[in-house]
Amino acid sequence: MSWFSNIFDSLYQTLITDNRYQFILSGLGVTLQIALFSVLIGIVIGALVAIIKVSAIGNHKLKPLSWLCNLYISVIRGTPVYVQMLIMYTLILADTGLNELVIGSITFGLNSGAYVAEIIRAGIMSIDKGQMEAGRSLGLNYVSVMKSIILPQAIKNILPALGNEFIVLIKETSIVGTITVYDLTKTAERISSVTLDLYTPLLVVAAIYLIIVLGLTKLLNIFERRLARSDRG
Amino acid sequence: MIEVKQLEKSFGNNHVLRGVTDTIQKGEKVVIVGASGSGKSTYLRCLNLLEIPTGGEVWFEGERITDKKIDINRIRQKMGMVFQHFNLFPHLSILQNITLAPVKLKLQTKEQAEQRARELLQRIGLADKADTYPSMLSGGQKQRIAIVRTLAMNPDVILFDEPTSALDPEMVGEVLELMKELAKEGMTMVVVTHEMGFAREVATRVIFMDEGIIKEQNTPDEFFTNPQNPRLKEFLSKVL
Amino acid sequence: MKKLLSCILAAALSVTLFTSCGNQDASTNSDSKGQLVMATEAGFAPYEYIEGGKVVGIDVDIANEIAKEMGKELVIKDMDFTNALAAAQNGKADFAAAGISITPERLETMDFTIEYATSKQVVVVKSGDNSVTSEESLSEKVIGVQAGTTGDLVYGDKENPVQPKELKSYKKYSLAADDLKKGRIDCIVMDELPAKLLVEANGGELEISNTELFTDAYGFAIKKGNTELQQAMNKVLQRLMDEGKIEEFTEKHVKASL
Repeated sequence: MSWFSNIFDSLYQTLITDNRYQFILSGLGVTLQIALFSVLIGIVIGALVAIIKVSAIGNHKLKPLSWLCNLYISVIRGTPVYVQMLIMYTLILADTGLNELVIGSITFGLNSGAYVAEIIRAGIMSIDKGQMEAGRSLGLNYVSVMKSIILPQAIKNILPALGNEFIVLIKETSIVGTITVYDLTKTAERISSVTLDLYTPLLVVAAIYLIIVLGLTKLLNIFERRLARSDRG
Repeated sequence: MIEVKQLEKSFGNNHVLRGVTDTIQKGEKVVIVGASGSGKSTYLRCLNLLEIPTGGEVWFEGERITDKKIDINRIRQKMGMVFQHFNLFPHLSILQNITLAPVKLKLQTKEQAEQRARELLQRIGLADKADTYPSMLSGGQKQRIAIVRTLAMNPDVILFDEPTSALDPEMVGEVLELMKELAKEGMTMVVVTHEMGFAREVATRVIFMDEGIIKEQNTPDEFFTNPQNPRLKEFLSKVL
Repeated sequence: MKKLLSCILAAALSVTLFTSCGNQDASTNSDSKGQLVMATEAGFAPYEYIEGGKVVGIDVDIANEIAKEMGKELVIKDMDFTNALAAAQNGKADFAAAGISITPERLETMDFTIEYATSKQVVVVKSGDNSVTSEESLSEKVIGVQAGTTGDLVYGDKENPVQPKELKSYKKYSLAADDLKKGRIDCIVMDELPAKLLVEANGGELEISNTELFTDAYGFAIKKGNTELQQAMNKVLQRLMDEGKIEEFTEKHVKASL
């Protein structure tokens, strides 16, 4: 039974001593917060970029803007988010006096925006072009048709993918500790540098990530099934 | 009512319309026939600028609508269109499908639009479907709803783009029946179709399009019994 | 079940939104707001480590005294060791305090306060391993160090008279200790105080070799040319040493960590 008491001791040291579970929970809070803010920023940017790109297909005046959007997407998708974060922290947002949590959220939001843009664009493109034609032929303008006809339908395809993006972000933000933010991962690192126990904090934190991600995935599946049901009705 | 002058349309190197000129009078029922690829659908879609012509002019009720300064949305309110694939809005109920445009465009209040929509549904015998969704309807019902959706705008002309081509044979009749009724009431109609029976019975004028131009046009009687153009003769021998 | 799950999620999210802003409301730019920003790597007990979710330690106690003297609020930024040095160099932080040894190389790129502590560099080996007999014997060893620390600088320098067989640099000592136990490295070169804690935490598996290397002096690193801050900090450090406060802090934190 000594291995059992060993595990118990390690867990006790990692979680209970010095109320370390509170530190871990606050790290979890920070992680969720960054992921949530990032996905919100990502949705705003992504929706904007996607709509510009989709609209530019039939409108030559938007071509330069669309080119800019493509550049943004290429740069973001072509570089590691870790490098983007360091550039944001040490260069672009270095002198703004912004809180590191905010810098992290902006970084991941900008990063997520590029992926969300493609999600939304694909969602819009998946709607039959006859829908746009029918709307326009009734005398509605492009923006109204987008708002009342195309987007409400596209959202059914988009929402589950956005949920996935949130889940991906929860995991991706684990590098934010580098810019001094105590997220879930960094709390594990710091606890292990005090207890000098390498494994237990990491395993505890891994378990927390896993539970959160599995839980959210489950929620997402339920949600997706609901959407599918309303589609039939 | 609609005047078309030397209309041209190309998609890249593909010259689909090569100078179409025609005048459609109020109350006319013009049926356009032709082989696939003859440009008849493109021509119809150029009339309300769903396709932007690459040359020539379209005039509607005294306005040159190919002019870039024209508010095409205002014009389209008066030019209804019915599509081959119905293009009902699947996320909206039948009633909402019909009332969306009049309400959004502030032509009618929500109550007025709904009352009018229910009257129209009553007329085509689908009043009980008002609160269901398009996916619950048969193809024929969908197309009749699509026609009603257009009627709700009180258009001056309706463009039909192969309205029965996507339907199972047993449903073609109910749609044609509704179109005939509209014709009887004096609606101006431009119809692209393969239904020669409909053309013979309803049309005031039949147009044969081929290679991007109008090759021949005549009253239905003359058109079908006494075709002149060899291409038309060949076409008719295949479809009749 | 579904409702329960979504309620829990909603509750968790809203709670975090309201609570977790607490320990992060520091902003980067320092003196303008009456803040004194200290960059550190809080994985170096007893000099800096986490307790109760906050960075504490000998360096932190000293830094608090300095901030108090200057009438400023101390803000601590916890980052990697190399980033902490960089932050002091480029002024992103007012100073770096992370048990930083004063070396000629570092003096070229940053200024230091007077030394406030000395630390022997020792060699941590597996218990019973007597093969490290002198500094020269390190030339046959695979050495582990923490990135950017004195050990890294000395044995990573190609001009240094003693060249190890191989040098592995770690972000954290706990990782190095793990590799040492697994035989991936032969020894760790590090400061004496944290070495004692590391040995203690590994319950008999590791020990400090009797072979002494050299003694290091710790100082706080400041951006080059910031003499005003340097003098202000020196004044406080001198007073603390005269009053015996630094021994007091050291004793307190070594005890707490053991």
